[in-house]
Amino acid sequence: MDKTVMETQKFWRSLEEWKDQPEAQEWVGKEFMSTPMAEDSADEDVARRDFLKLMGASLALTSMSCVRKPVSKIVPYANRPEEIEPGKPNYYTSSYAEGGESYGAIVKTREGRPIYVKGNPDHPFGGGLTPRAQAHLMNLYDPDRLQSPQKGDGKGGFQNSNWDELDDAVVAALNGGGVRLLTSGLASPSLKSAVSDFHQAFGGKSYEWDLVNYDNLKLATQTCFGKSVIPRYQFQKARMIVSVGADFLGTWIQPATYSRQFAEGRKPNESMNKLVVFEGLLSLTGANADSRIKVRPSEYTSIVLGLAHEIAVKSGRSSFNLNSNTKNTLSKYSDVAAKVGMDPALFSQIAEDLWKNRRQSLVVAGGLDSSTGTGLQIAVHLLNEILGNNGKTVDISHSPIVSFQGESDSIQKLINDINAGSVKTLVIHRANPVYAFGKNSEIAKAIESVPNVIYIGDRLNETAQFANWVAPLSHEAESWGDIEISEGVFSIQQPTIRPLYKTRSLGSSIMNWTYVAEKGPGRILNPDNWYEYVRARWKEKQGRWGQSGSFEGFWNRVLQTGFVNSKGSLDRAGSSQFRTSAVSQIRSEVSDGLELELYQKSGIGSGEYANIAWLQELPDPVTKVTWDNYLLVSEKRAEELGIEKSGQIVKVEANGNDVEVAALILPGVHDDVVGLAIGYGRTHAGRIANEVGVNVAPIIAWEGGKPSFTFQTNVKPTSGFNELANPQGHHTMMGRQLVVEATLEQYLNDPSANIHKHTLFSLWPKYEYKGHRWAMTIDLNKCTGCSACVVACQSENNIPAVGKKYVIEGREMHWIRVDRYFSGDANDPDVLFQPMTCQHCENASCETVCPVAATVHSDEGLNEMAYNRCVGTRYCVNNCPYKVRRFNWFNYSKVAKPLDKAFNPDLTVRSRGVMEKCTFCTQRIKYAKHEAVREDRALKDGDVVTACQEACPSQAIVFGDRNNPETQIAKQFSAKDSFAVIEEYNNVPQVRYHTKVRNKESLKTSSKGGH
Amino acid sequence: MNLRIMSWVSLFVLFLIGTSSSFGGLERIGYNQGYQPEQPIPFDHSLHAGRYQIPCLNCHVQADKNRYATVPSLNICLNCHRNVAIDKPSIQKLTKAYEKGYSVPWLKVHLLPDFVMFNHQPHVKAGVKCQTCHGPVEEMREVYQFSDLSMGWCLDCHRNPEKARDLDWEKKKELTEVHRKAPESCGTCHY
Repeated sequence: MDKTVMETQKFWRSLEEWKDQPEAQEWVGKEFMSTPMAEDSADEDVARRDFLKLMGASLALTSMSCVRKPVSKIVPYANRPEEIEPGKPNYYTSSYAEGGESYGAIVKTREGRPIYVKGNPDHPFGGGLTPRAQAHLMNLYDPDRLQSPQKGDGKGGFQNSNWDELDDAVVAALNGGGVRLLTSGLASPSLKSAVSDFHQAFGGKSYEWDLVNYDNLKLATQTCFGKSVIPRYQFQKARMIVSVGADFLGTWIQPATYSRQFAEGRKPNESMNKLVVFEGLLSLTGANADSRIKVRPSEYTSIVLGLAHEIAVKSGRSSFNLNSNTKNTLSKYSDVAAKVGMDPALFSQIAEDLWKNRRQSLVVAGGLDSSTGTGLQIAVHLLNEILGNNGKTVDISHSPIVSFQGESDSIQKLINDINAGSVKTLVIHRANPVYAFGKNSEIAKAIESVPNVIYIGDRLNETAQFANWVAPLSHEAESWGDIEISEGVFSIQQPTIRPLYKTRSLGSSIMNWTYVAEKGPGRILNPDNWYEYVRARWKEKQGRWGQSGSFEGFWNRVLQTGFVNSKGSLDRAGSSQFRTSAVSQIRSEVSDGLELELYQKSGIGSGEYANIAWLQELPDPVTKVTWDNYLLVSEKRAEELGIEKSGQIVKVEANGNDVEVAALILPGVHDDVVGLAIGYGRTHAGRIANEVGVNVAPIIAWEGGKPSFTFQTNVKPTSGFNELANPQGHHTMMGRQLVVEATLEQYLNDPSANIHKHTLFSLWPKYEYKGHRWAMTIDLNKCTGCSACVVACQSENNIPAVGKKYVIEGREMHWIRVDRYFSGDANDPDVLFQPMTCQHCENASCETVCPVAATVHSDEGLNEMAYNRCVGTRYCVNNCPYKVRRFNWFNYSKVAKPLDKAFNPDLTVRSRGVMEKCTFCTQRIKYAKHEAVREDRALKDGDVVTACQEACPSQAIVFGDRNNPETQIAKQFSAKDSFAVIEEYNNVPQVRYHTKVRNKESLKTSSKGGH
Repeated sequence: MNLRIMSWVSLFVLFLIGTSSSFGGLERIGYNQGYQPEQPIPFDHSLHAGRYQIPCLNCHVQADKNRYATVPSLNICLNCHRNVAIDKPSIQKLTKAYEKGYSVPWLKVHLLPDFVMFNHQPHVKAGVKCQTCHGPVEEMREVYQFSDLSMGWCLDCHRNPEKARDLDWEKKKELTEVHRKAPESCGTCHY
């Protein structure tokens, strides 16, 4: 064990804790931030609790005499569908797509209701899902969804209408000519052809637009390789990864896919990958970096070119023949390290490492689009070309990503079109530019001036306010569709429920309109419905995709597997000739002032799904704040600006406008960079999202007809204050050894490096487990902190969201949380994540204190909660050293209809006054056992998969029966690098963690004493 | 202050009502034993299961493979009643409902609280006869709740599983550990 590290390495969770401020001390002592005695209704004469106590006693007495239970009914199917067995789930393959980010998914349905989504493990873009993809199903049951067509007055007033009326009016408008269609990016080939049929019928043209698009990257690839695509990166093959501002584990392009690939290369052995991140803010990717260097966003391009210079010019090495022009261009970047204020030796070392791992390294860059973004991406292509990565870890020609179809200049083109007076009817599908750019923006004014605006969307959102007609859109789970994710890889989107309301998909609406107008090609006029249309498109292509056999057979195969891959092995990568001329298009302007970088949060993203409470309450992986966006600012800069503490409202001025938002002081942010998340401040999204956070639209920069998300800013503190709901201060575990970190070298010498060993003894006999013994391990080395597990757990276990006010009071209900720890000092810390859930201790301290034996130990090692027995003393919470028990303070289960349809019927929906916590998905254990009995066999490894395990994109969680030596868990549980949290308590947790390994020389230490 | 006085008064009144009406038989209270609601269609188990000896699983098709035994869907009834007893008004009512795609709202006899997760399948698979819990259904003209379905009653068998098993069945089948086990931990039913 490295003693010096042990002695000086100290982990801390918040700035307050680091500075030993009184708030942190207060959090340590308290489980809940408020007392139940001081509830809202306490202003009455009698406190509500007194009244309840009395009423409770009287009720107990009366109920003795009420013998009869309420009458309940059983209504069987008149004609039971063959595939439905009441009580048994069915699974359907489908896909998730938002903008272009797409994954193969499997939807679980119960009695015809979709209730849960997981990644499709066999799908090339499946495996794991992001929190947003997990939660998007809730949009289906959103009470604020549109339920019927609406007739609008163009000024935000609406009245209910019906499809006949709408179709007649829309077709009349379409027949009038001057048609434009603005859609969000159409990744669906079937929709694309339907849209072209639409234009054949009604003329006009369409624009595809998404707020989050990767236009810069597409343009750069076009310039460098002559193909407008997004390269398909293969992180699993890379041993040296450099990310310059790209949050590929959190929000960039296909984060769940990348997380899995990254974790694959993260095994702690000789060939473990190394991640170097240059960034201005602290992103999830930065938090996982082995080496993280703070730079400004405007310096990104020069960093990449500087690395290219180090390798190609200074050391004169390249896999690619550079011409003298390029070399001259690169020569301008010879002193980048000094300019950005980093150690030149470290910079050279990174370049050296890249070259050493040439053809198996990877450089990626860029966050949301900025005006210099194309140049940055060209520079990245050049650097990857120098390193010989293109065609190895970067796939440009074999099967690149093509699902991002939105183009950032579409909005400007549409504005020009409208201002030229050529647009009479504007049909908008899903896109919400009025929210994205503000209601005073040019696009809002332009849309308002169009005579006929038809909006196709699932709610009366900001853009729909200008509509004359709103055609309600079906959810993805209600309609057929397909997605071409990467070239030649087609994913099917299968509906799992009939539309709940009078809604239609875009394809269906187009079919209806062409039918009513009797215009358009036969292929859209003839089929009976949208399903037939989609099938016909697939039938046309079956041969081209090399799929033999009858169409029905092929179609059934597709529905079973969820996708078609016509490209062969996706392990392959291809590239084409790099055009050196592209290099001349690189622009790089380093600025001095304070730079604002707008970024996406992995929960909310661009804000389309903002009305899902789970996503609002999902603690941001890095900041851990819920229900808000905020200005990220470093401690030093905050001091300079006069920001006293997190939560103080600041005025952010940029591009002639300003927004007021709370500041959040975050360790690890560059002193000259501030960050602000997009996707918040919705005004017409629904009851959950409206007025949560601040919309950044007014300050977005426009350059050359495109929005830019990185620009100069001025920040001024105000006297306002907005308390941020940050649960990370809660549930602290008082500075014992909780997480273990080791360098790769330490780990290779001794896998148990840095693990504090304790001699433990007990007076009591141990439990005997004759049958199963359930246990879990979580690999901190694979865990990226993405928090997909949190949402999956909510979905599986009927866990409610409680709202900002109650998160502040410490009443959040998540059964699994992802703790974030910092190490090192506040200026430049390392970050660790540790998913924390009920540890199912063998000697559980909660069990011994329960006065009513509501929480007991099972003979299979589970720490069980009998909700009906719990009387809510909360002694167990008080005694749990892991702080994982949650008290249900309110009747959260009384949700607005139809949200109750999303409940999982396999377990209790808890009501007020009971304690609850992770059960190791005991309903799934039960289900697996019953399945085994049904098939007359014993349980085998892999039969029970917990929701968090299933959701984890990086496969960090392993669960199973420890008593069976053949299982993966039995091997992992006793591995040398595994440790139990606060082992010295002798609670004997059945959850163990594997050491976090960092591929670097030494760990960050703190000047303050440790353990 | 009104609220406090009101609560005390109500407490006293309810106490009187409570003690007077529930005196004696306290342990049976709330268990619904003997509950025999009148069904929308007077389905006669003694005729189907008794006289004609139709096995339970013919209609309650899921009892050996699922959490719910399920009340049969109407198409199962009509397997026979397309042709059998079609002159009876109840059968005509049933056929009409089926043809219109309606269902029959049967009254649930065996009510368990929401926090009890009972599953038919492991019980049937372990050789527990339907009658052990549901009583002599083959003799019931109208089904009533035979057992009290209390937790003590459940545990009684879970502690002595052999008590509930059909002996013929045990002879017929090679019993593995999964079949024999009748767990007693809380989480068996409450989660």
